[in-house]
Amino acid sequence: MRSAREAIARIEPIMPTTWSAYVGYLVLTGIPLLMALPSSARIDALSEPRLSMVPIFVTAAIALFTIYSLNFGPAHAKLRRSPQEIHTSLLGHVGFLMVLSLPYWTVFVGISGLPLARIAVALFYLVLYGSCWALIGLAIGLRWPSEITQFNIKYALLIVSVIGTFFALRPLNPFLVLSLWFGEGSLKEQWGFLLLAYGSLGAGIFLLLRWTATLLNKRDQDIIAEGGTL
Amino acid sequence: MRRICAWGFVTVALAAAPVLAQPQIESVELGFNGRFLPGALTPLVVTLRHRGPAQSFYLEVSQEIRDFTERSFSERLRMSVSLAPGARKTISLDFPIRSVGVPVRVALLAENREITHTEIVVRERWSETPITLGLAVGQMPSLEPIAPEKLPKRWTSYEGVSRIVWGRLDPARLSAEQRSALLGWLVCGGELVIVSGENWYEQFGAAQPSVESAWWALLLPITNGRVVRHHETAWLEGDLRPGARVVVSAAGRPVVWERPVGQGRVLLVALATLPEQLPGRSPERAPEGDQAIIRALGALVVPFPAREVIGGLLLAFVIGVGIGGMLATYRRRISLGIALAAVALSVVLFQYQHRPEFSHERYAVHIGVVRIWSDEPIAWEQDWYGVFFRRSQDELFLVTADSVRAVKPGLWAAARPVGEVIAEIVSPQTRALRFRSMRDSVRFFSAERMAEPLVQFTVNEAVTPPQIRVYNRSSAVLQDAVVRMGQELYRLGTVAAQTELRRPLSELSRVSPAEWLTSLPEGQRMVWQQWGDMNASPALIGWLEDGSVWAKTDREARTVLRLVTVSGG
Repeated sequence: MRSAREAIARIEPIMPTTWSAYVGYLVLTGIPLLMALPSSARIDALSEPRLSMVPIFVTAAIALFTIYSLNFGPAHAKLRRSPQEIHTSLLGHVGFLMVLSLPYWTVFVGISGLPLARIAVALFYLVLYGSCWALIGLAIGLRWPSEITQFNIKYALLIVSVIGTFFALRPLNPFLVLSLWFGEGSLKEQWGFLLLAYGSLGAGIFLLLRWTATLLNKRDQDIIAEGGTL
Repeated sequence: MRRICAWGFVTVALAAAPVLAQPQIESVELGFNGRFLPGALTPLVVTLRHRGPAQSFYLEVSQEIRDFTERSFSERLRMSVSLAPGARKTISLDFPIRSVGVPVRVALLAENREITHTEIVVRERWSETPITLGLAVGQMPSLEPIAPEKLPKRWTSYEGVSRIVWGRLDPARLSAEQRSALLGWLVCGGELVIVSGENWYEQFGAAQPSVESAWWALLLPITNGRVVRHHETAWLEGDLRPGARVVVSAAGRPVVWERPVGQGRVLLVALATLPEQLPGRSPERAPEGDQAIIRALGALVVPFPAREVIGGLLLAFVIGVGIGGMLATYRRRISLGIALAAVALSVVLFQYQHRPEFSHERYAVHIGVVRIWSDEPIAWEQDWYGVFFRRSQDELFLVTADSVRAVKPGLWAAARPVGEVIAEIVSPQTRALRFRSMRDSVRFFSAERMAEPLVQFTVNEAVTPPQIRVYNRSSAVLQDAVVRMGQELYRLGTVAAQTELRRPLSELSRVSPAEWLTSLPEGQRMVWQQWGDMNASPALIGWLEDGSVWAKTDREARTVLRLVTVSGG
C-alpha cells in the first residue's frame, strides 16, 4: 500500500519526452473540434444533410489517443525504475492525456447532445484501450531496443490490429465500440457486445501488466548481472 | 386400432386447444360498403371473438407504403382491447389508407407478439373522388346507399365523404353520437342535401318540435314548412331562417334553400327529387397547414453557445498547456495544476453549454386555427406541430385530438430517414404517438378535433353604440384581439383567461385591414395569410399563445400560435 502511494507520488506526467505528445494531441484534435462548433442557425439549415466535422473529431481523437498512448510505452522502457513504478507512471500518462482532453469532450457533449453518462462510459473504454496499447508499447520497448525496429513493429501491429478487429474480435475495435456510444441507436440490444468489450480490455490489461512485469524483472536481473545498478 | 385413433384425436385436440383459445379476427368492414377515398381517414369495423381466458391485447391496423425512392414508411394505429372469455367485440376506428396497391393489415398483438392477423385487399373498391352517400333514396349513379345504422359515430370517419343525400328518413333514427358526428362533418365542410316532397315536413321536417328533433330543426334552412301542390307536384314552402338563402328557384318559387353550417352547408330541396344540377360552391375547403408548419419550423432559430467564447477558451487552454509543460520539466507540481485547470475548464464549459437557452432537447412550433361560429355548438380546431430533435431517443407524445397523423416533411428534410410512428388510441380524445427521434431531425404532425367553443362573441347592435361582449373560456390569454364590423377592424386588445369583457364599439380604436396586417408579427401574419378570412362580419379575431393539444415536456422550447376566429355575433 505504502509502495503504491510512493509510486503514485513519483509519477511525472510531463517529461521532456512526453510533453510534445500532450500538446500535439491537443492541437491535432482541437482543430476539427473548433471546426465542428455549431453556430445558431435556422432549423431548415440545421436539418439539411451537411458535412459535419464531429465524426472527424471523434475519429482523430480515438486514433491519436491510441497512437500517443502506444508511444508512452517505449519512452517508459528506458526508465530505470521498479516494474510497479513504471506501470503506475505509464498508466498515469494515459490518464493525464485523457484529463487534458476533458474540455474537448465536454464541448463534444454540448455539440452532440448525448448524455454525459454515455460519454463518460465511452471515455472509460478509450482509457482502457489506450492503456492496453501503452503496455504493448512498453513490451516492444523492452524487447527491441532499436528505435527503428520499435517504430516498425508498433505501427504494423497497430494497423493490423485495428483493421483486423473490424472482421474478428470486434469488441476490441475502438471505432466499432465507440460508434455505439456516440451513435444514435438504442443500446438495449448491445449490452452483451459492450460487456465483452470492456471485459476483454480489462483482462488484456491484467495479462499485459503481468507480462511486462516479467520482462522488466528479467531486464533488471540482466542489468544487475552485468554489474549495473537500477 | 381404436386405441391408436383415440390417442390421435386426443393429440390433435391438445394441439388445437391453444390455437382455439386465442382470439380471432372474425370480420373487418372497411369504408362505406367497402368504398373509400385514398388518403382520407376511412372507418374500419373489426369484430373479434375470444374463447380463451380474459386477456388484454393490442389491435393494430397498419399499411406498409413505399415511395418512389423505394423507402418504406408504415402507418400504424394501435388500440388496447380487453376481451372477456367467450366475448365477441366490435371495434370501430378510423385509419388513413394511403395506398390502394398495398393491403391493409389488421393484427392482434399480445406483448408485441403477433397472435393473428388478416389482410384486406383495397385495390377493388376505392373511389377516385370524394364519396356521396345516399340515405333512403333510390338508386342513383355515383351514389353509395347506406343504412342509417351504418352511419359513422365519429366525424373523422366522414373525411372521404363530400355529400350526403337524405331522403325520406326519420332523423330520430340517428343516435346522439351519429348526430354529433354528422354535425362535426358539416362544420368542417360537409354538404347535406335533403330532398322533401309529399308529407315530408309533417313526417320528417320537425314540424312537432321535441328534444329529439331540435338538432334537425336547427339544421333546416326554413321554418314553418308546409307542402303545397303545384302542377300536380308536392312542393315544399316555408319561411327563410336567418342566415339561410334561396339558391335555386323556378317559376318564382324556391326550389333549393341553403343554410351554412360552419364551413359546410345544408341544402333543402323543395321537391321529392334532386334537381338536375345542384348549386356548386366555391372551394372553401380550408387550406392545408402542412406546408405552413414546415415553413414555420424551418424558420425557427436554434441557439447554440457562442463559438467565439468556446474557441477562445480552448485556445487559451492549449497555449497554457504548452507553456505549463515547458515549466513542468523544472517544477513538478505544475502537472497537477494543469490537470486541475483542465477539470475546471470542463466544468465551466459544461455549465455554459447547459444554460437553459441551450439545453432544450426539442425545439417546436405549434400553429393552429380555432374556428368558432356563434350559432354552432361546436368549434373546429386544427393544429399542426413541428419539432426539431437535438438528440436521439425514444419519444412519446400525448395529443388531445380526434385524429392525428404524421405529415410528410418538406424536401429539405426528406433526405433523412423518418422511421415509423405508432399512433395509439388511449381514449376517444387522446392519442399517444411513439417513435424514435434522430439527432438533428424533424417531425411534423397534424391534429384535428371538435370541441366546445373556447370563446363566445356577441355584438348587440340594438343599442347605440353597438355593445361588444367577449367571453374567453379558455385557460390561456386571448391576445391582440380585433373585432371586424363591416369593412372596419377595431382593436380590442387582450382578454384574460376565463374572463368576460364588455365594451361599447365606440371605445375601440379603429384600424384599416391593411394597417392591421402590417402590424402583425411575422409568425402571426403567416398564420393569418394561411387561414384568415376577411369575409365574415361581425367577427372576432384573436391569438392564443398557449395550446393544450400537444402535451409539453420540461426540456422543450415551444412557440405556440393559434388563430381564433369567431364568425357571426
